[in-house]
Formats: sequence, C-alpha cells, structure tokens
Amino acid sequence: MSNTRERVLTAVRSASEAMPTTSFSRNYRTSLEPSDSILELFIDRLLDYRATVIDLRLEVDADKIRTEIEAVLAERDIASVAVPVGLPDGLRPTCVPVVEDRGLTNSELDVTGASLTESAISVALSGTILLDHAGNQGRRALTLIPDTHICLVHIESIVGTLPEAIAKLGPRKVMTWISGPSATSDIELVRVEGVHGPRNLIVLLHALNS
Amino acid sequence: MGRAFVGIQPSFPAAAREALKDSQLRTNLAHATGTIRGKRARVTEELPDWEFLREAARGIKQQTLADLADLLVEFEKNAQAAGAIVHWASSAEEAIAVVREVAERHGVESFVKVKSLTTDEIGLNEAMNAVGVDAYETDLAELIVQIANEHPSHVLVPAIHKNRSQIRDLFIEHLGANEDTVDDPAVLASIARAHLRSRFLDAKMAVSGANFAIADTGSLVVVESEGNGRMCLTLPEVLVSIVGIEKIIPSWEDLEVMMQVLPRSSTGERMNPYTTIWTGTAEHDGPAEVHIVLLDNGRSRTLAEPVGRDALMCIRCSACMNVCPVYERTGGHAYGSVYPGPIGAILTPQLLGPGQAETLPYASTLCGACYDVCPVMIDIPSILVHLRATGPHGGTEKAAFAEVARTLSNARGMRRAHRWARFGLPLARLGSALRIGPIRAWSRSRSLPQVPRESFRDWWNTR
Repeated sequence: MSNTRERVLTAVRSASEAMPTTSFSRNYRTSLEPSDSILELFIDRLLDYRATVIDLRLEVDADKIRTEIEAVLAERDIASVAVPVGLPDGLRPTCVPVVEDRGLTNSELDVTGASLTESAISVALSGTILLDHAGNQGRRALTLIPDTHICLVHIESIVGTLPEAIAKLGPRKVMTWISGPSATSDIELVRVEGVHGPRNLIVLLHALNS
Repeated sequence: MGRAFVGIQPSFPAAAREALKDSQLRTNLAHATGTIRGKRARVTEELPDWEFLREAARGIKQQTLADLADLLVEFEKNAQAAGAIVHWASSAEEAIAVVREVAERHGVESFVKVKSLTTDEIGLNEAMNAVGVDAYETDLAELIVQIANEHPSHVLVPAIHKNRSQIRDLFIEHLGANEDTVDDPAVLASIARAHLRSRFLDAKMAVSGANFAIADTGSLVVVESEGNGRMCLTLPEVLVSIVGIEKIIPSWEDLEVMMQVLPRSSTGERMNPYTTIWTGTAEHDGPAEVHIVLLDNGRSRTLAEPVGRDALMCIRCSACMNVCPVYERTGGHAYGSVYPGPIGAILTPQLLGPGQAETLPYASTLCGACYDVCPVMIDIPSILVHLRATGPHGGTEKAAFAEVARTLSNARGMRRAHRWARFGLPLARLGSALRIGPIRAWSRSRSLPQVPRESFRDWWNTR
C-alpha cells in the first residue's frame, strides 16, 4: 500500500504543480441583524421540521423543568428513559424508570422509550442542534436508538448562524448535528418524518441556573 | 448485473432515445425535479449572503485542488493520530481489496451500507457479492434501487425515476409487505424501517463514503436524512469509509460554508436532518476499528486537465441535474454512469479517461442553468464545450468545419456562400426530408435555417 500512496501523491503533486495559488474572501454573514429574534427564529425552524417545541425560556428552576419533562412522558405513554451519566440529577424524571447509560446494549436501548439529554450549542438560522457527546449528552447510540429524543436546549446556547457555532465550539472528536426528526424525501420527494433515527424530537428550551 | 457502468452501455444518444419513449418516467421526473427546484429556490433566495457563500465555497474547493497533495498528507496524519487506519487506492480494484480484506479478517458475511456514490462508482456491492459477502443498502432510495436490481438514476434521490405505486409493488414483491399495502410514502418508509431495524442493531461491519474529509482535524463528515447513516456509522464494530481524494476541505472552519451551501442546494432544506462527524475512533462510542480508503481512480488524471479539473470541485449536491432540461427528459440512466446530469457529463468522461463516454459532453443544450445553481460555481457549459472540442471528430466533420472556417474568414467567401445557400439549402432540405445525402445524420435532430431571398449585404449595397 505504501507504493500506492507514493504513486497517488506523486500524480496529484505533478497534476496540481502549475495551478495558480488562489485566494478568496469570506464575505458571508457571521451573525444576524440585532433586530432578528434568534429564539423566535430557532423555534420557527424547529416547527418547520415538525419537531415538538416546549418553550420554557424563562424557567430557571430544575424542579419545574423536570415536572414538564414528566408531563411529556405521561402524555406520550413513554414508560422508560435512558440518560447520560452527566445529566444533572435534578432534571431526571421520577415518574418512570430512568436508566443511566453505562454501556447499555443496542437491544436494551431499543426497548427504552426515550432518551433525555442536554446539548452543546444550537443554530437558529437552520434550526440545528449540535451535540458534541460530552457527559451531559452521552455517546451517539443513546440519542439514536430510542424512538424519542427529548433534548434540553439552554436559551443561552443558541446562536444565530453556523459560523458562530463553529467558532464557539471548535473541532470535536465526534459530533452529531440534528435538524428535526429523522426524515426522508426519497419517494417522489415527499418529505416523510420518521425513518430510522428517532421519529420524535422534543426540544425543551429553558434558562436553568447553573 | 454489474454496476460498473459505462463502456458496455449504449451511447447517450441511443439510450436517451429509448428513455424518451417511457412517458411514465418523464412524468415522474418532471414532478420530482419541479418540486425540488422550487424548494431550492426558496431556501437560497432567503439568504441575503447566498452569492458570498457560493464564492467562499468555490474558493475553498479551489484551494483544496491547488494544495491537494499536502492536504491529503495532513489529513492522513491527523486521522491516524486519532486512531484511524488510512489506506490508499489508485483504482477501484485496490479499494475493493481493502474492503474485502477487512470483511474476511472479521469473518463477516454481510455489511450495512450508507448511501455512497463513490462505492457505486467502484462497483463495490457486485464485487463483494462475487466473493460471498452481501452489501445491504440502507438508504431508502438505494434500497429501492437495489431490490429492483437497477442502477441509481440521480445522485441525491437514486429512485427518482420510480413513483409511489411502483415502489409499493417492489416492497410487496421483495420485502414481504402485505398485498393490500397502500402507496402512501409514510407507510412505505415504515416498512423500510421495520425491514432494516435488526440489520442495524446486529451489524458487525459498515461501509460508507464521506461528504467531506477535513484536513486539519482528520475528521470525516456524512450528511443524511433518515438516520440510516448514523446507524451505520455508530453501531457496528468496524467501519470502512471510501473517500475520493477530492473530498478534502482544508479546515474545520470551512464546514461553516460547505454545510450552508450543500443542504440548501441539495434537498432544498435549511439543514439536512442529520450530520455525523467522526475523527478516528472514540472510546466507548462507535466503531472500535475505523478504516479510511483514499481513492484516486482517475481523479489525479482529471486534476492535470487545466480546463476540466474544476469538475473535481463538485460536492455532489445534484442541483445541476434538477435544473437540466436534458436530464429532466431522459432521466439518469441514459447517461450510463453513477454521475448523471450536467456534472456527470463532464466528470464521467474525465474520470474514465480517453476513449470513454465520449458522447456525454453532447448531452446538453449549453443553456447554462447548471452553472447558475452550482454551489461551487463550476462553469459546466465551458467544460462541456472544451470536452467537445478536444474529443474525437470524424474526417468529414473536420473537413466541413475547415471549409466553414475558410469561408467565414473573408468577405468574398461569405458573398459566394450566400449565393450558393439560396440554391443549396433548399436542396439540402429536400435531401434531409428524403433521408439521403451526408446532411442526414446532422439534420435528424436539427432544422435547417430558412434562407432569406436577399442577404443583408445585398440589401445594404442597393439602399
């Protein structure tokens, strides 16, 4: 293989030898206008993707947020919840069994009703939630296999544009960007929500005191 | 059936003539491309900085091509440091050999697949089937194409040529769906979900492509909608990603541009539902063994073409095929390549090399709609013209055009031509109507111009 490596690199090097060095400017937006309401924009985008939004933008109290989560579980008949080890205790529901993900198997996750996690940063303009799979979000399988993902988004973690999010977050080992529930447009380009990923995405906006 | 396309296929004109007889195909395509054109237009027009994003995206990919060798080395170093095993392949066969070796070492009889044009390009599924390893496509459209035993006809929606009831029939025949299944896309999607669920949860190995390979971090990026990508990239123990060397972007920061232009150009969404980014292996998260195959397969030869190399900037969004009047009528299969449409017409002949797919550069009206929508501003019409000029031409055609050039380059020749045209063209028209004479091949799909009774020059001289 090392021979192949040299062959490819040599061919590429000689092919691009005479190419002029180029420069370009990055004149695109890196932030929104001050008059744009980032929060309203974010909610609008999420609803457009048919995510469910629970707007507790003023809520600073963990107990009240937990009560709201429990109401969601009851309303949807969700009987068990998997959480990452780093999810604060005060946010964990008490009405249904809660399993902490310390290496749950795929089939264990498959029979769990929902996952409940926090998130790293969100982008209003495209309605995108970025997970960097830190301790409060868990590994990738946790937010993938259960059919419902309840995702907590702190309103201060929402930025206007993708360039702001990229600048704030920096490179991560693994990331998942989520813009709405799983969807497909493969049949006649009709958008259908819910294929292999979580069919339900519930975004809970809050202002929890840390 | 081999997927390694082109060469054994009929030429574009012959295949297009057949495709045009299929009125169901034309209906399906007109509906689908019309829908997606509207979506794309809405989400690009709402961005006041769209043209700036395009310019930056173009700049990023141009920089990629200019520094490609260094960026590949940088990518390799960073990916290896993060725990990935990096392989190099100069041909389809070499890339397939890597996948085969990994599959054999782990003793797997099958693997799950994320939709990947690059693996279609190298004919991976057929090659693996031949050695007794099954490749399961997991993208809904790829699954449809696979069970129909067909080729993809569009880079984004490979089953765009099929409508819902055709798909329903396939699911009844091949996936064991009930006879009374309705042709509702939501119902069909849920059948695919049930069919693939245990395959995902039990898979030991997956094969993917990548949308971007980030040089300064060694990360790979896959964008998708359904979650089948996340399943394949997360759950198996072993992952092999086959990445064309042109998929590099220099830096992490460049994602902020590419991830704005790609989804909006592609599915016409503000963002695709899921994007997965991984850097080598991560502890207790995802595959413990991660392979990356950097594939040349004609790319370095294309890079050496001063005019044609821009085709390598393509990020496979498919906007060009959705606006192309030729694609909309013939569909993707007529191009005989995994890369159909305008981009395929410039990419396929170059990737395959001299003597291959020579009719594809003519599969265009040169209207320029593709250039207008391309998120990395590839001047597809100019490259088409260039490929036509440098392609093979018959002796009669060369002689005829040499005569035309001689005639048009001096006034006396021009005057003589005008006089002759008044007699000659009606004769030629008669010839073409009767299908005789050398003019026939040319005039089969073109109308001969009407000759005015008096030329402009004659009129000018008498006033």
